[in-house]
Amino acid sequence: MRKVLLFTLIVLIAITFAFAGTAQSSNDVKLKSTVKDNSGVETPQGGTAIGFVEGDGEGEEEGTSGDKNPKGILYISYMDESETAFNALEDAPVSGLICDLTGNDTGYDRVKFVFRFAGNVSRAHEYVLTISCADGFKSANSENVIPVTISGLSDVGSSLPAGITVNGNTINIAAGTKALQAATVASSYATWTQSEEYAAGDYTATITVACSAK
Amino acid sequence: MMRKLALTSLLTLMAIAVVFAADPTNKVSDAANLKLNASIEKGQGVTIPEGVTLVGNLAIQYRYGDEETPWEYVSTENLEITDLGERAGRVQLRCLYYGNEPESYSCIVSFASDGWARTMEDGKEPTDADKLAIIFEDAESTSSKKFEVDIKNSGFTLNVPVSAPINGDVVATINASWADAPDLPAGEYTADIIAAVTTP
Repeated sequence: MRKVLLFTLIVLIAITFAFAGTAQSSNDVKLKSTVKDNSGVETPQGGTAIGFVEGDGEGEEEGTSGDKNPKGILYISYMDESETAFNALEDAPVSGLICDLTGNDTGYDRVKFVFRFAGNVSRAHEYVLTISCADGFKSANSENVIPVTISGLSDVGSSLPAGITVNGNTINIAAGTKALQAATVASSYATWTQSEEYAAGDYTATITVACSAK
Repeated sequence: MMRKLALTSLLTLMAIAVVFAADPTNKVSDAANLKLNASIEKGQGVTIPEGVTLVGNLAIQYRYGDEETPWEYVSTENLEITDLGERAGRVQLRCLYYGNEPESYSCIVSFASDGWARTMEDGKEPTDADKLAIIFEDAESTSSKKFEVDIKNSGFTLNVPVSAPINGDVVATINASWADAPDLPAGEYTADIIAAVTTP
């Protein structure tokens, strides 16, 4: 044990001398810094995190929610009826958003989804989103089906942050994109045909949003 | 010494586990669902003509005359027959469906009548000589993808799959007929035709 302590002491002294010698032999002042993960990034309100990139690889598969400490996260929100307020999907009523199938009632005439990106990634990333409502609105007895159409992603035009592109169902984040705090990047709509030509009944639909990030 | 080291390591690991468990980015999902719901009321999109009373989901119309005679909905008004006894007669009846039922609609439709009977004075009961039978015949269903109709004696069974609103589509027709009866005693005669709709 004493030998180990002595050895450690000697090594530390050697390192000290080595660095002292370097400092004395140069007048350069070298600066080095690291921008911490998620520096300048805040978690947006009213959003559901679905895409995780540049995690530390610990936990589950890299790029998934199981990966720890991601530098970039894509958030999805559904908008309120006036399409002004963001809402996390998990905050939606358990029974579902009330929708208007006939055009005569109160409720959503359509549902707008908004995608926001928060992060300060160092590498380029690609988010591929799959939004689906395969079964449409189905009645309680499963005999009536009213299709729900999901539009492709639309970017936010001139408001799109530099380094981000939206194409089809893909959102690309370029390497070195500056830190973004919940910057809105794209939107999509779930729509259905409003008509009085539907059979009576209680209808439900489930929209699933899946995101793969790489 | 070793025990303290082991205990310290254990506590550190537990602390890390708690911290990571509280991390909101650690939700185990890269997919999310949003549920929608909506209701459509019975009768929405269904327009029943003013003054028409449905029997079940059916409206009954009649026509007395040739093919050019317009159909009329059954009402409280009497249909007057002016040549009873002189010649055979026929009233055409048909059923029209109205509805947007959330589940398939089934019913049994039957027509019945005690026939013509003379209105007797002093409360007497009419005899057979004072009566003239009405029979139901030549029932026909209307071919349609909207309905399943099975003709029975004096009526039919109807099954309507779940569908968009149906506004008065003809389901079936049937004739209520009587023979000529020159021997009928003079007098006032009345008859009732009853259309019964039974749902299971």
